Amino acid sequence: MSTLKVKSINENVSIHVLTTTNDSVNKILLDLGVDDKNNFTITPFEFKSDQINVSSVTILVVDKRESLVIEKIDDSKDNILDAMGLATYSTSKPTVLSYVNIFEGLSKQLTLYDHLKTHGRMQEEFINIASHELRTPTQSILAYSDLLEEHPEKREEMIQTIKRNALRL
Amino acid sequence: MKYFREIRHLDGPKANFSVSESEYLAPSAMTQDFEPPKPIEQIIYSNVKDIVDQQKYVFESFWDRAVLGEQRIREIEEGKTLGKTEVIRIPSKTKDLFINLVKLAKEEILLLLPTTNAFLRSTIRG
Repeated sequence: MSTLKVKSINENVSIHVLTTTNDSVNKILLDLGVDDKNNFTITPFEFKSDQINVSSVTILVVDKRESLVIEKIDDSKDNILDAMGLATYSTSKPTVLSYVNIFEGLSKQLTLYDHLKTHGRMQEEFINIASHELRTPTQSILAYSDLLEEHPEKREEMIQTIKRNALRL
Repeated sequence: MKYFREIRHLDGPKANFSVSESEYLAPSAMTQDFEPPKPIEQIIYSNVKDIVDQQKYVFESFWDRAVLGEQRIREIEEGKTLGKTEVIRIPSKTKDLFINLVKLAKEEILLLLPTTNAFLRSTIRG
């Protein structure tokens, strides 16, 4: 990852990484100072075991001209050589561009998913706030209406309070 | 071509060199830089194991990225680039190719790491 960062800063190579994240990954990214500046984009995605696996292969595409797709045979291994299975290297334009399309499609899908999550969260917050804003004056109106029956001598004062709370709605 | 077991084509190399199991040989200057071309006056020679191994590694990385000679001839004849696709079965070769591709990138690198362990292996464990 540090090599990629150097490529992006020193050689102005545009880097886009799609990766699953957890606390360890986030910490490394933070330590490396990787952000979306300097042509270095990281699109994280969460992988949950009950979801369809996004990908079982590592895909590397360079300059839209060469691709290297590496199968993983044992993800539990620490050594990169033990985790690797077969790999396919290609300079064939249709093959390489297919991988570019897969990568970009996945990236867009993850961005959309992220937007949807943000949208859903904002919608939920709005409903909570609106519900609170509606509930508070309504309760005041109901309470003062009850009090009005019990204390008709304070009629004017209570009607003003009811009006004020009605206006808040 | 009948004199060679296999010929491959690669765009880009700027110098000639030969390497065998135990020796490395390269002209000290590019003869095509001279007009008219001159015969080679000086060569670099080494039988030091580390240098020979390093040059064998350089040759292997060129060889892996090159296309078959027959295919290149077909491409020139038909006026289109076909490219190549090959299966790599040796993980160490895959790892070397991965590193070379990243190093040689000029404009853009797209990388998908499918699991957090894949990320950690590529970042921490090399």
